[in-house]
Amino acid sequence: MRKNLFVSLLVLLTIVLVLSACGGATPTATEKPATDAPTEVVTEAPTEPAATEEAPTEEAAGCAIRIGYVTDVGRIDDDSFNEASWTGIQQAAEQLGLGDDCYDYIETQDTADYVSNIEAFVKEGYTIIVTSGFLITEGTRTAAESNPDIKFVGTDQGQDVDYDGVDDVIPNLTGILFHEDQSGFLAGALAGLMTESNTIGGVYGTNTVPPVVRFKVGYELGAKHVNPDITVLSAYHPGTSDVAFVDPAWGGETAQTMIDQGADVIFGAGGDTGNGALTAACNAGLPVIGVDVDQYLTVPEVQACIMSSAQKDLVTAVRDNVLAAAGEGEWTPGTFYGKAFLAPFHDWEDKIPDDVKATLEDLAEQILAGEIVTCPPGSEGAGCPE
Amino acid sequence: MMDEKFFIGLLALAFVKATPITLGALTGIYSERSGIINIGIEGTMLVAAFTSFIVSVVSQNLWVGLLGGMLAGGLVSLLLAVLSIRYKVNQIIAGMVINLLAIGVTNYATRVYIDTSGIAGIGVLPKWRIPLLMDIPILGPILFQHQPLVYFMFGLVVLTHYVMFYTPWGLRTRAVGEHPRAADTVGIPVNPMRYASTVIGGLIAGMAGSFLVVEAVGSFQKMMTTGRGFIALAVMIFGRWNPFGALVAALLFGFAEALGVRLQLGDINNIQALVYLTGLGMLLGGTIQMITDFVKKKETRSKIIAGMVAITGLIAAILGQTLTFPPTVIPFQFLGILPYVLTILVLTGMVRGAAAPAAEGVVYEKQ
Amino acid sequence: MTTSVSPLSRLGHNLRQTLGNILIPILAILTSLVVVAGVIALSGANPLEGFMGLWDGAFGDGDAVANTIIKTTPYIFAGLALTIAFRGGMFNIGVEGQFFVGSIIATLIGYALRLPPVIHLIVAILGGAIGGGLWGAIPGWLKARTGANEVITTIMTNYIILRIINWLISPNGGPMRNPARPLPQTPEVYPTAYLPWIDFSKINFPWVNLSWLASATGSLHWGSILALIMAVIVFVLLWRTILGFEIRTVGISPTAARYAGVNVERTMVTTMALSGAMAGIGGAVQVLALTHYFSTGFNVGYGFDSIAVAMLGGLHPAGVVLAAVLFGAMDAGATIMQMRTGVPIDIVTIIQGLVLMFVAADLIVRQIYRIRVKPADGTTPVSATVQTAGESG
Repeated sequence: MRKNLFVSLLVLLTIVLVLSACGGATPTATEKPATDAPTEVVTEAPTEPAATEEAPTEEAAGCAIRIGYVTDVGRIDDDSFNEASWTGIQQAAEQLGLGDDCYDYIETQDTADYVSNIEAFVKEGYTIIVTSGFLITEGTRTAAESNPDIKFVGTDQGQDVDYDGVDDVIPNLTGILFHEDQSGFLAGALAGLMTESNTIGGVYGTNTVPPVVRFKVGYELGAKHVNPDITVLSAYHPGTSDVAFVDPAWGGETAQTMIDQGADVIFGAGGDTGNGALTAACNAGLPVIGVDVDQYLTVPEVQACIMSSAQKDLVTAVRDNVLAAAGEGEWTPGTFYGKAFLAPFHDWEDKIPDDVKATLEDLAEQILAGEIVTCPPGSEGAGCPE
Repeated sequence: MMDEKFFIGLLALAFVKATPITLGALTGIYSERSGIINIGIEGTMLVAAFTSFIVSVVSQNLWVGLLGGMLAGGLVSLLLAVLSIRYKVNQIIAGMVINLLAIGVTNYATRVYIDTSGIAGIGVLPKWRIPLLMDIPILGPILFQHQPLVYFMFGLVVLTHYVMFYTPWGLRTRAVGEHPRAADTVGIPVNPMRYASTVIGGLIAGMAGSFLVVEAVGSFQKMMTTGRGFIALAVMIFGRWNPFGALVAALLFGFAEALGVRLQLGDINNIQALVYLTGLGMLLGGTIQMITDFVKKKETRSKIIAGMVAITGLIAAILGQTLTFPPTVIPFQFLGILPYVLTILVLTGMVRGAAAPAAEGVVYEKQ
Repeated sequence: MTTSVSPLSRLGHNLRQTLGNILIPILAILTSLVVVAGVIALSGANPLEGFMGLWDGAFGDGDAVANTIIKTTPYIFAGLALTIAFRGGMFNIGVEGQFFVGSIIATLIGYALRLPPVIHLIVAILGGAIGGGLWGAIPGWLKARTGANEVITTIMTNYIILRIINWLISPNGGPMRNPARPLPQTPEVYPTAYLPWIDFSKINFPWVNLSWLASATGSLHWGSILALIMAVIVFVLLWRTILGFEIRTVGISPTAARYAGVNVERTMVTTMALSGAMAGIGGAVQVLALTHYFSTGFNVGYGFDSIAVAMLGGLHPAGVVLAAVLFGAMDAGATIMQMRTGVPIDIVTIIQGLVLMFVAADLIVRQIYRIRVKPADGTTPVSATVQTAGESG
């Protein structure tokens, strides 16, 4: 009996050790760099689990405003859009002087849960609800219609037209969209100007996510715009959206395939999968271009190789719209277009020739002026204006 | 476009893709040959990948990281063995427990401890270009210009084959897995053998998981094994619980996956490539089958079928190389199912083969 | 069990056994929570608050209970699907894929056909069942015909169907994609095919009156009731019909079944088809009751998690329902837990893993709490499954 007890304790101990192995290895807590360069507001590490220590105040007396955030399927700390939106919310909350327990998030596990997740916030008396991702477009719209007193902000969502194609703006709902094709175009132009082998590659998540498709469309057009003879190799992860963005090994191997075909610049647009492509290309000594945020800051492994990132400024867009919803700034129901641009060159500042930079600036101006079409009609799945 | 470079690139990549899968399959071979079903390979790999990342960052040494990952794999498999042997838990449940805990623990730990810290990976192991051998035309770039774990994988396949089939230890392991009662009667310690074999398997799964971090990616990402452990399970069964069989199956799988990606790049006519490669595959398979038939003096019918397959393949290959095909883009999702369809086709085309170790999954109790 | 035991002592024995059967899972859950509390505390959060959040989110009020029931439903269907397969000795990893086939076929019928109400719904659910059943029958047929191991073929068919379905709604030529929307999703099913919410105010019969629950109308759908009915049907099928007897006999020993005159090959295919059909109904219910269209990221993971549900439930429909409630409750509660306390959702996966472990390794629990009751003898379906899973290689 004694022996049995000993063994069972041993098993438990092993489990506890395995479980807490992480605890022992707690790395020195260097704060994760804020993904948002333009503002000097220092954000807290986005997912500090102990952030909300106090019990939730059921009456929520201390909160004049309560902000709830429903993520897209995926994690809040995805180094990508879920995280960027949350950072924007945190910045807004800080600016509004809200306490930690006045804003919260729910991670969506399944698209079937969108509605119940939004309802959870409605029920708990939240006044501003932010939802992330194009898949939740309709859920957000329905919730906004039935809760006119709550302001809704949706990222990656066009909210100015009804699905029957009729203009239909709901006064308490703003959708944020980006012209990913524009920053993708500039990324493609950069790659097209920097390549020596006249072959470049792009590794993407899956084509069921319109922003990814827009990045791809823009990248290919941009490269061909500055370099008509260029070969652009593109590959999507063939898996469903739950694996297509979390398979860095596949991304790396695919980048390697492209490098074997002579590609000497790699663009990665697909969460961890894209990051895997960036890392593999960087390990092979090739320059890379990141996506969504300034990945020089979020993927430290590739700092030496990353020329720039095709950025969309989600943090600022979400922050400004949340502030507007709270009464600080102009509330613009319908669709709000955030900024999409090329991130700073960082370590490559000196390696990129001045004439390339000049061309890029020139292209950026032309794009803003509408002289270049970066997302032509008929680009399947990109959701470009027809 | 389907030139030498095309095949070299695909085959070299097939070996890289096959490495974690083959290693995972070896894990299964060790534990299942001794009678312990292991469906926890996926989870074991995941924990190992996580650990190897942490250890390599803390020690600033990828080899130490690899070691850490392997030890973690061994520990996780020890849990599987303790649950299965000591506590007589249904081994499929034990495997599921490991998969669930691995996902939960690595996700949780990554979120709570890693994501908030901004720690960075320290790169990947450099390629080992084997002198002289790497300069052999065609074979050199396919086989001898890889990162170290690819060679380790080869070594382990050979070693496992030798150990399992040519040493007393291997004989005992297989005896324990096939007929524990008889093994016990002749004095083989059944359960200690099972513990040892499962934990050795775990060390190898640890290498498979570490591969993803120290060779493929350079950092840990949540759920980064994306099903490779389950593919390994399939490959192990496909290879009939034999190391070389598993390697061949994994290579086939890796090649098909690499091909799926390669065809997506758009510079090759998809249909033409598939016709040509299917032809080559049939030619190869038919020829090999015919040779074995002759060597093993099989009946004439079998030889004729093999010969017809080979000839059809030859014709298809020639047609594929000479005809002009209309430019067709196969949806990339369909290119992505190539490895899975191929596995099913080959599997069902094979004759009924060796079965699993007879005493697999059965708790052994001394009488 | 010997025949000479007096009825009274038998009753006592059964009582003690039942007590043991209930006690062990409860203690297993408790033990898991204690371990997890340690993990949460390590991260600096308060475990008690976390568990309170989990409880509130799962059973805190009417809405929470409703949410739990909605999340339990797919686990019941998938768990039952696995129960049928495992009882028949088929290690069906393919429930995940069969679930998806059910969803996509039901969606297709829902938007492509125009049928009167009720009939449309029935046809859509039946379509999902047939689709899932056929897709499940393929690995069964492959095994019966060529001996191809179902573990491999179901893993492979999962990947194949998931990618094909991904293509069906993809912009690169996906035929089921709704062209009117920028999003990758199918068109919406017609309301005639909706699986309706339960209208409690209308349930008012002499023998059952639920009108006092009228305020709960709109929070529960009929799919949950269907799931319970299916649990009963699976029980009757497996233990009260000849087919069920054949399935279980093949599951315990194909060789013995063959001697007993059972057509083993046909039974294998039937088992897989029934299992796939059950999963298909589950997939159909999710679409017809909740989203009314199919899109990417939908229903992921039920097939895999339900392996744990089926095993936890002892491969018995009643047990499966209870285990499904446990999983559904944790899924439902996790949201509130994370919202209120910041404890990550992943902790739920750890709890699920530990509960599964402690229930399966009841020896550990018995040792910790010094329980003397012998494990239930006689029916040990779980070990039978393992044996056949090994044999089926």
